[in-house]
Amino acid sequence: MSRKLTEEQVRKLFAFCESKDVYDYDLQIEIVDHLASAIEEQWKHDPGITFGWALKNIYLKFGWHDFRKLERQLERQLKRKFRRMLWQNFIEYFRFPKIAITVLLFIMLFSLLQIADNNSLLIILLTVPLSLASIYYNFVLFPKKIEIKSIREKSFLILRYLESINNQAGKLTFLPITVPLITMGWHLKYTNTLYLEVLIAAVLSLFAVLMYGYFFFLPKKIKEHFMLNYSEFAQ
Amino acid sequence: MQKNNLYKGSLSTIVLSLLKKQGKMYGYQITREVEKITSGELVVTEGALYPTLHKLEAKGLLSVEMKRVNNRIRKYYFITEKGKKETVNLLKEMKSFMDNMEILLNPKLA
Repeated sequence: MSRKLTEEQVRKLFAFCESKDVYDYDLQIEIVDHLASAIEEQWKHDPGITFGWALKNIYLKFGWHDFRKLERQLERQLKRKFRRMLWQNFIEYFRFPKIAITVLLFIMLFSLLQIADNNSLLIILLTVPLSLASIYYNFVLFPKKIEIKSIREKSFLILRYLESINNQAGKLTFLPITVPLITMGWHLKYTNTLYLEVLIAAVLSLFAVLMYGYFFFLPKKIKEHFMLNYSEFAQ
Repeated sequence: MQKNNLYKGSLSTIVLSLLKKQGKMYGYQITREVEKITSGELVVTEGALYPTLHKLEAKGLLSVEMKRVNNRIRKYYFITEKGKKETVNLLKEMKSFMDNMEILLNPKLA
């Protein structure tokens, strides 16, 4: 039977990754398996070679001295994967049956704009419940229902991405301040014309659908991906 | 190696085609298999392979599965239905490219 790596040697490979500034476990797994497979193949031809020497051979032979570059590429592709899912979810709200939700949302917003005397004030008022919801999301919903903590405080790229969604939610808290500042020069109080009300209701409906996808659908998909692949590392 | 530069743009097609034929494979296995098939003519570096695998996964052309093997976790890649369709298109494009290169490099005299 050919020589295989011991648990201790595998641990050394993880430490080797960290010495090369790769701290995310989702990438370490792949690099460690690659190095380990290459070492075991060397042992097939020369069983007497030491672990340290075999590792040195591989590191010198292979063309990936910049591990950080691999990490950046993985991060980019991970975000791309989930953005694609987010976009597919967004499109669903313009197809039967979910289009009913989008239309209903539009009608509700449009009716509110029709009723309101001052659309500018209405938009600012709408940011208040959004701000309160973001505080609830940030401090209650995310930590209790969405966040995943990894065992032994291992770092995962995918969990950092999940955390970044919560950080974005935190930014919505300040909408009642930022929206009036941004829209100050837009003369929204004069937007009581039909076509502008249609436009505002449409933009707000799209924004709401996108927000729902970003803050609820996306974390659900990220959690599914994590639990499918790394469930043994979840607390 | 200079000759490897010629294959660079085709790495996605090579990986997809290999996975379509062989089923699930892990990164190191892919590099070795490509070397074996081409009798060592083509060496796929890890710096090129893993970004390609991650890109194909992000596009939904590949899917992954984790398994514990010899004291470590191994990430297996396998082709999705979308990936199979894309492989057919990429191979068609490759064939057309090769035909055009053949015409360009060996023009038939009238």
